[in-house]
Parts: sequence; C-alpha cells; structure tokens
Amino acid sequence: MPLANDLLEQAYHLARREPKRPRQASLRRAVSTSYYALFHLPLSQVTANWKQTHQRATLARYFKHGNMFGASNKQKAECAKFLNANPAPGPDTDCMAHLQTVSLAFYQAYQQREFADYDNTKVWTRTQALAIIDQVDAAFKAWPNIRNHRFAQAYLLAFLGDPKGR
Amino acid sequence: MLMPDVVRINFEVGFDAMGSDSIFFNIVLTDEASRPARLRHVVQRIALILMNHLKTDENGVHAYFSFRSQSEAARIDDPAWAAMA
Repeated sequence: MPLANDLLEQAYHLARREPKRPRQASLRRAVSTSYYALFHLPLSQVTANWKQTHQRATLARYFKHGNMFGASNKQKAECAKFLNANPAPGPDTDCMAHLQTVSLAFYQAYQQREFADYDNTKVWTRTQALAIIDQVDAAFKAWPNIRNHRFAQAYLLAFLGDPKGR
Repeated sequence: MLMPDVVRINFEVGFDAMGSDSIFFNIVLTDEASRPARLRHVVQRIALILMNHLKTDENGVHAYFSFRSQSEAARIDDPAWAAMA
C-alpha cells in the first residue's frame, strides 16, 4: 500500500508544518489527504482479491466514495451493536473492535474532507486536523489485524454498494 | 465519562454531504487531552460515548465530531465553539 501510506505521511507533514501559525491551506489539504489515504487503503486490499493482476488498477476505479461511505456507516453501526452487547472475547470480537476503528474513521473523514475542500466558512485548527488524521492512522494500524477475517472481507464487498441498486 | 478531557460540547444540526439529517459536534478539549500523545485515544472514545449515549445510529442521525484544544478555542473568536452565556 505505498500510495496509501505515502498519503498518510503527507497528511501529517502538512498538519505539522508551520509550527506557530499553520496556514489554512496546509490544514485543509492535510485533512483531505488523510481521507484519500484511507480511501486507498482498503481498495488495495479489495483489488488484491482479483486474480487478474493487470486489471487491479482498473477495478479500483469502479469503487465510489458514496458507496464506501454508506458501507462504513452501516458497518460502524453493526460494530457498535455487536460490541455493546458485551460479546465473549475472541477473534470475532477483536475483529469487530478493529473494524469499528476503520469504519468510524472512514465515516468521519469522508464528511470532514467535504468541509476541508468546499466549506470556506470554517476555520481549521491544528488539533482539528490532527484529530482526523490520528483516526485515519488508527485505521491503518487496525486494518492489518483483520484484513483476512470474514467480517472485514464482507465490509470490502459492501464497498460496491447495494446489489439491488437501492 | 467525558471528564476530565472535555471542557465543553457545542453542537449544530443540519445536513451532511449526503443530504442526511446530522448533528455536528464541536468539542473543546483540555490542552492536556489535546497533546499528540493523548489526542488519538481521546477522540474515538468521546465519539463512541456520544454516539452510544444519543443512539444516533438507531435514530438514523449522522454524528460528526470536531475537536479543538482549549487554547485554540480561546484564541479564535468563533461562536460555534464559544462557551454558552
């Protein structure tokens, strides 16, 4: 995942530069870049499931931001319901905890990216930007623990959207 | 549950980028909780507490969270983040 990792590193770089008076442009681009880092993280995984390696980059083009947001919204709700029922410790519970971190980060970063890119009425602070980037970073750390679990694979499949087009 | 990290919580209701009913939280953290070493742990914990407590998923409302440090909030004159009179 070199692209996704590079984007995350770039997001931190932008958020931390100008130590005394960060520019709004730096903070906004930092938030936006962190979203794109998280957008590319699962895509590299889901396209790796495709046997024809030369088609993987093309396959990634079929994934829509809105569908991925919808899948993340649904997933974070399912994770909360599962975890709030005090499940027994085990691989499924561990997976749901990590999946909650990933899906919640995507859900939050998607909306914050909209603000950062398009809403000039809002002033950004470094803490605001770092709070989002840190969530994305936590998702990056969580994902390798679960990427082959069936819950995580179902989450990836949901990125394609509703099969009935609803 | 939110103490001692949270100084105050403001919110606005509106619509998100998808046009869905949403609540936007502006949360002022103590400077201690805003330190880089602590921020990452504080942010998700507070978001989950509020979402669970308010049952936002069950009520079909999207919830989004923004965080500023107490120093930042004091430095910027922004009614959306100010203490209520």
